[in-house]
Amino acid sequence: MKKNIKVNVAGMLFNIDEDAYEQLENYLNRLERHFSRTNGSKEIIEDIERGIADMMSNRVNATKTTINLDDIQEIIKAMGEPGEIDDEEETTYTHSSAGRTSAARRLYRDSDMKVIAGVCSGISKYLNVDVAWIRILFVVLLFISGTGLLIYLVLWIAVPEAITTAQKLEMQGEPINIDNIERKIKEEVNNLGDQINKIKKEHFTKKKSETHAPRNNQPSVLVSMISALVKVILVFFGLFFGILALIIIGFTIPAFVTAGGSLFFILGDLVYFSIPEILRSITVNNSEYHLVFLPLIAIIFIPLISLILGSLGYLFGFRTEAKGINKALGILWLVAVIFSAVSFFQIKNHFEHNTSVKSQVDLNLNDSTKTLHLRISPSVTNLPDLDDDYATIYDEFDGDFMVIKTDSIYYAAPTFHSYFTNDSTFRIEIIKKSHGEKPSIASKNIRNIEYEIVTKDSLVYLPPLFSYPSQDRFRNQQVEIRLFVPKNKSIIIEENPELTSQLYKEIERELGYSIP
Amino acid sequence: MNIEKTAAQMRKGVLELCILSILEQKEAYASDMISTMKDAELIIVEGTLYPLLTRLKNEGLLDYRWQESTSGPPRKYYTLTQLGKNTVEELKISWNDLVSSINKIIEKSI
Repeated sequence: MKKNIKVNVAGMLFNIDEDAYEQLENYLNRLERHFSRTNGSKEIIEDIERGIADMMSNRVNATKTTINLDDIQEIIKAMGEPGEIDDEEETTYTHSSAGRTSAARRLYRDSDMKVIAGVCSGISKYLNVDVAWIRILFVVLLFISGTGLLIYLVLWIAVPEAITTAQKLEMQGEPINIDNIERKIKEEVNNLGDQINKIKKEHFTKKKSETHAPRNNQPSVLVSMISALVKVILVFFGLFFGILALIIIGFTIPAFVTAGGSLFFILGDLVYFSIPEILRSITVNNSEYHLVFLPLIAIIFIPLISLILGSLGYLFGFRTEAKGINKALGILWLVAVIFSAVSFFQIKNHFEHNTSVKSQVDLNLNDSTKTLHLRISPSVTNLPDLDDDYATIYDEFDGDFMVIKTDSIYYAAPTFHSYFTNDSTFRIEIIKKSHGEKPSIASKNIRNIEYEIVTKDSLVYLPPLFSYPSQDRFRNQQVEIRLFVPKNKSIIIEENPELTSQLYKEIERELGYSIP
Repeated sequence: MNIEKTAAQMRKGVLELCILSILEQKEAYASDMISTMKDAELIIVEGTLYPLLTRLKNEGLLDYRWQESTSGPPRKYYTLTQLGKNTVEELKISWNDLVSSINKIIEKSI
């Protein structure tokens, strides 16, 4: 059984076989694409559709009610392929003052001069710049965290190759200058009505419609003014979002690069999350890692790339030929969203239980000690010397969420709080906290947190960082140090002159802030 | 030399004159024009007419009116404007001049 569709062509309803419908739709799309840059394209296409409807109505009668594939093929043959129609038109138009826009230069990939795919040579033809400069630019961009590669791939996919002679001529058509741009804008304004009407296009839709009377083809002045405004705004938005997306991609890519050390790193003036490192620190194995990482890439980059494709396509006048690309990207994106939702719950599960353990530091002080001296000392637990960048990261995050990775150990900074009490002696509490899938795992994570305070008379040595093995993963392990100070006594931070690392100096300062 | 291509190019050049001449005799819509041309054994695809008609109309040579059809969608019946009438007269003169010149050349070469 063949599927049968009701279709509205130029205000007339026809029964049409599904395969015939597809062919017709395809043909009309080709026409529309073909005439998209011709003056009065809307009228031409409407006329052609009316002609098609006329031919279709000649092919149905009381006994034969359905348009089949043969009918459509014959109709298309009689109407002519866009190329045939165009050839005729081109000759007649060359000597007319109306002029076609095909003389305008358009961006193509130049496969005659290609090294990889002809992107650079195409751009050089478009901008009339020696190809060497473009290639140098791409190589330079390549070293800025691979941006060049990404741009190249995007252009490779989006920009069509110049195959026919016409395309090769268009590739080196009129140079881009102010006059041309002005003319292009004028043409766009002229074509406005088309654009707006396309949106509410009814002459070729699947839905039923009774419009039999010819519509008024001239949009009113007001409508065209409004649509002009809308159009201009859309162009600017397109440009704006295209550039914005490019910038976002440029700035986002580093986050997807492993920095080797910390879960955070600095590039330029920005603090980056290293997404691979963070995901490694959260996920338990490779498959879970990829289940989060790959969908994340898709979710972030697919919309950005589509945005760039869209605005590049508009601004440089090339058409993204494969409509399927957008569809495929859309589906891929949805799949990625579903995967992300699944993995989100899986990861949330790792943080299900929260446990904390409190311990007292044995100070061995008598009541006569008036002052407690605190000193930040990395040597107590053999902490490594760390890069100054970590100090900046520590500042940015207020010290709360910085995890440093060296070999198979994670380091993070403890928090300090102090309280006045009515007791007669100083007291120090260490509170270790962790999350875990099960209470037993959370407890194990706590046991693995290493933080040791050493006391010598009234001098207390505090390590600036605590540590835990990376195999425990990041489960929001925290160490809080509580200093209890008797009311009439005081605490003094002794600056440690041996601190070489900027980060440890920051933590020393942080400790100072916590003392009243 | 591609004979077919050259012949097609010859045809293209005179399509405007054909359209204008058909309309000089009586008003017509696209399908009429195609069958008139077919009767005269001038074969073109129908799609070719529409961009031409639109352009001639925009240049002020043609005008059209809508007419309901019993079987199909409403049709655009084209007529010549005064400018169109003047143009077709001039074009006919040019055409006849051209034909006689070309024939002279061809006959000489035989």
